[in-house]
Amino acid sequence: MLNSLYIKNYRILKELRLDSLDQVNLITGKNNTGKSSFLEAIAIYASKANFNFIGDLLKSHGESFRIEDELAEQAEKINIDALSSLFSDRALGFSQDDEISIGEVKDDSTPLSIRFIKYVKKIEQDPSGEIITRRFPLPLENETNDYAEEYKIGLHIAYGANKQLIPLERNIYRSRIFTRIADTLNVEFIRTGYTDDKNNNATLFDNIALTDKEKYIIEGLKIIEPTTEKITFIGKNSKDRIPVIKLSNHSNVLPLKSMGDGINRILTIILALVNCENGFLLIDEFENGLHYTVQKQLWKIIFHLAGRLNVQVFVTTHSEDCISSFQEVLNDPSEKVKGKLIRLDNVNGVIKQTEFSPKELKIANEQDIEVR
Amino acid sequence: MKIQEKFPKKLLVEGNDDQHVIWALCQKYDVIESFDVVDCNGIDDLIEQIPIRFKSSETKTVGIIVDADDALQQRWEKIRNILTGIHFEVPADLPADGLIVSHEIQKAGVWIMPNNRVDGMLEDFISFLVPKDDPLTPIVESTLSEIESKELNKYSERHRSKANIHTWLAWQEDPGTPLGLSITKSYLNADEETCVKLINWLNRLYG
Repeated sequence: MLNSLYIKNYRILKELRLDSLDQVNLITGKNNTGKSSFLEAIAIYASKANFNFIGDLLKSHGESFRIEDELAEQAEKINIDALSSLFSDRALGFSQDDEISIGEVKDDSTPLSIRFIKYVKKIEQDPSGEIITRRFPLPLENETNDYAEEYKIGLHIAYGANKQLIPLERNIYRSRIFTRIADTLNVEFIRTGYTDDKNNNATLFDNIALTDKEKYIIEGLKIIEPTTEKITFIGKNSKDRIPVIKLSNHSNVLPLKSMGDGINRILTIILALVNCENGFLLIDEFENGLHYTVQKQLWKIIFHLAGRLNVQVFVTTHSEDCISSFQEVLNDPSEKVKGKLIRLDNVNGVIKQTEFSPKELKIANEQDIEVR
Repeated sequence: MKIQEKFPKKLLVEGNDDQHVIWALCQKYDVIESFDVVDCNGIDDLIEQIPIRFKSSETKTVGIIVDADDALQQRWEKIRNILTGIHFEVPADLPADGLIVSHEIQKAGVWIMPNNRVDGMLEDFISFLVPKDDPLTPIVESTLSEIESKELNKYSERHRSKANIHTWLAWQEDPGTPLGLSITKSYLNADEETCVKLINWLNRLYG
């Protein structure tokens, strides 16, 4: 769990400092205030800059980074172009000030940092005669010096004691080296309009099928369809499976897709939630496909499961209904899980936050004060 | 009265009468309509709203008009502490012309009824506006004194000024005219000094 958050140089978030975070954090703000970037930064941090994830992210931003064989010579340029899009102002800088840093506010914490680095490649022979390639980063203070050797550009990723130099002269997203830093991912990220991982739900279901967590799925689906009995994924082959549902008043199973956006949205959210125990759940635009009457019930389940499975939740929204239903659940005296609303504002290009406590949200709700 | 808010600038007032008096004064003095006058349904809700209003993304200016009641200094200290807590630098004493302070792009204003100097409420402010030589004024006063001496008054001492002004209004052309409308109908003298100060405060705050 992140108790605080410091983000530097990640896309529109040049510098954002949140001194405290709660278990369930709702983020609001107008367009272009960095809400999605906020979630992405947490995902990068939680995944320890996993390159499968970063590749997905670049793709969802429409960055071109696929390196075909005929473009191999331009690989470095293509990689730099795509990766620099993650940095504020798409800057290609090599100093510490230019690095992306994501972590807690505390001084003694170990943030995740990403920056470009210049290095010199040397091919050497070790005593046993084996040829090895070694890469020497150029020291920052010497970067203006003339180097006889030609330098190359790499990406330097550091997380605590783990440090890694990723050469950019080849297709980096296919490479296996990046699994070294990454532990098991314990982050689930539900993005808007991003349907590339349509088989993701089937995989997530397999992870929890027949466990206690399966009953949370049923509980969630009952918000919209109270006669839900069972759910599973079926298909002709393992790559193309769809969710089907058994209702108590039907003898046949029905495809879930036939039952509307809302129930499918709830399935996606709860599947993600039960799959990131002790980790992070990130949801972009909570209200998508959800009528306001079901939002409060869904919040209840999210609060309950977040507490039970120790998941820290970050959700963005534009919707007044979403904030209002969040507020109701948050201020329920029986609710032990804590939460807050964070609004991001773009003040002349600088993103600033305003935080609302449960009590402030209650007052604002009762007295009709706009908090978005 | 609950209104549909449409301006980023707000004036928070305790109740319906305050709201209508401000509207009537603004009309009388051609104060540009650039702020919402929000009826907060009482002093407690108004106080609670202050910090939240300043957190609203659109709101740049928040003015506050409250009654001193019988504790001007306490009320001022309470509001002063809230504003200081938000980030405003607020002087120790409430200026006689009303407070206006700024911080970056935000502005806060405070006016404590009746005149930032004495205990009282909206009705005391209104009683300042009763024409000075009005022949009914001494009769209203003696009438109230008489029923009080016979202990027939059902109002508390605290609400004496309310009883006074509403009695005076009951004896005008249209008995039962509410406070705001009595300004519009010119029963009251809006050129009075305190009233001009209040208008100046509004113009400085929202102009």
